Amino acid sequence: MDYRQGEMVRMMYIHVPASWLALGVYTLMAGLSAIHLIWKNPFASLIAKAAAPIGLCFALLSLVSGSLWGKPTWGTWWVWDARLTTMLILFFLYAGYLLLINAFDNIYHGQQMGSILLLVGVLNIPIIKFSVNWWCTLHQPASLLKWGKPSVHSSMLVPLMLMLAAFIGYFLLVLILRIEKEWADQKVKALQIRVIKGS
Amino acid sequence: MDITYTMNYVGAGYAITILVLAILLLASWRQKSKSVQKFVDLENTQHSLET
Repeated sequence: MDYRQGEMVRMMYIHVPASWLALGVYTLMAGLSAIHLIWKNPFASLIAKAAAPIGLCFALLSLVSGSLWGKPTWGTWWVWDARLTTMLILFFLYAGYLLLINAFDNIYHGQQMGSILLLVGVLNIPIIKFSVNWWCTLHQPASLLKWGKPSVHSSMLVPLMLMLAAFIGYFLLVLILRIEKEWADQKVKALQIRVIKGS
Repeated sequence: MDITYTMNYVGAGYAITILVLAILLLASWRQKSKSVQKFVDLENTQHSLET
């Protein structure tokens, strides 16, 4: 079937890594939230906050590239099938988290509420993964992350893995920048409080 | 499938990806630089007030 897609298959090299990273970043953020809530570690929450806009962009790219792939292959930009809808929910979870943590005057309340939202929302991750198996969807089932041999030929698997490595590298680079930003912001807040208390 | 037709979609997909990732990288770099600068300025102000 895939050979009939011709050049269209090239969309896979951006759609698949973006989707994997969108799921992976959310799972990482949920793990960090658990650490934040259980051990009261503020640095875990800081990393989660720094990672959120990157995950949001990956979710957006997954939806946009999927839509651009869907139009010529399925004949439609969008269908309300299980995989697409749960992926859209993931996008809204990222956006909701970012809105929630900035909605409180007290940043610690915001971080706590955001952590709870991330932990509740993590239930969506296995639903996204297995949606193509549980329901009859227009989206194809898993080709790589499944039991048995991957059903992708090595001529496509190698570039796909290279693109995945590039996306992970990009994620780590931007994550470091955003952690430095969040860290500097926290130091500014602490300094401002010290100045207010001192005066 | 017509190659020009399909390549329009692929090209749009790659262009949007590069654009979004470039904007995110530049915005993150700019925000980080501004935050670090703000901290340095505030610390210098505090030092000068103390001395």
